[in-house]
Amino acid sequence: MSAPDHVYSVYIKASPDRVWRAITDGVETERYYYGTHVDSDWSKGGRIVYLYPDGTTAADGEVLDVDPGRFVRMTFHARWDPEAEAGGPVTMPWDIEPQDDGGSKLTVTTSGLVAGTRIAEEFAGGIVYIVSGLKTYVETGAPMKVPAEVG
Amino acid sequence: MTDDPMAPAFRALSDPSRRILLDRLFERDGQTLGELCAYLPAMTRFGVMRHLGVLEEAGLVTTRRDGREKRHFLNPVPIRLVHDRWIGKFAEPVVGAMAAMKRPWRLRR
Repeated sequence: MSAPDHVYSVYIKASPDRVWRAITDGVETERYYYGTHVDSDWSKGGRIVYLYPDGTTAADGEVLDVDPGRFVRMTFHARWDPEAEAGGPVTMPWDIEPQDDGGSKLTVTTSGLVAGTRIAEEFAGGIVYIVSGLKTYVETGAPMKVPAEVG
Repeated sequence: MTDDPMAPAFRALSDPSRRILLDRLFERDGQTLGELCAYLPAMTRFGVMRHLGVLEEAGLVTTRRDGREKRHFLNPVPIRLVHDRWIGKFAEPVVGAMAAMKRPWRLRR
């Protein structure tokens, strides 16, 4: 298996089930995922869509493989603007490893980004923001400070 | 020993050689030890490995096997958390202004 483009990970003081809910429940993603609401049945082959509050699509994709509470491998296709959309879908697995102390290690990797493109740069910052925000939200219940223009 | 979750990241960032390694991984992610050694020519391979070890311990670098190679990936999440939980409050007005200029992952309105 070839190496991914990027690997992002973080320890979260919460159970794998709690982290899974934060990833898959739309009411929860609204708190840390750029305000978007995720919708999917989270079964293999199922469609995933991230919706802005006005109902338009921020991004979509497909569930490639899933083990609820442990991992989901998805494709993720940016739809937030034409240039990002032209970059095509990215493969993005989310893995949750239970830790001895009852917490979780969340690892998100990306594959299929073309280095130097705007979508690759936006992704680099975007995934970091989302993963950090997920941790802060799950551990403290508080959403991240959202950049002013998103508010 | 305090139970400060940010301490390892601050310690890892305190060394200029380690910051060079992070900068080079920021420019191009997933590099091998051999590639990273080239950026610190005055340092032995063992020295570079030791610094990468500190970065990995602090969670700032993640490694993945790729065939016979081990690749190093920048994990900026702990730095982001340090920023959000500690540095951000001191620099907030400036950061806010810059974020608005850069507009990462902006919303369509």
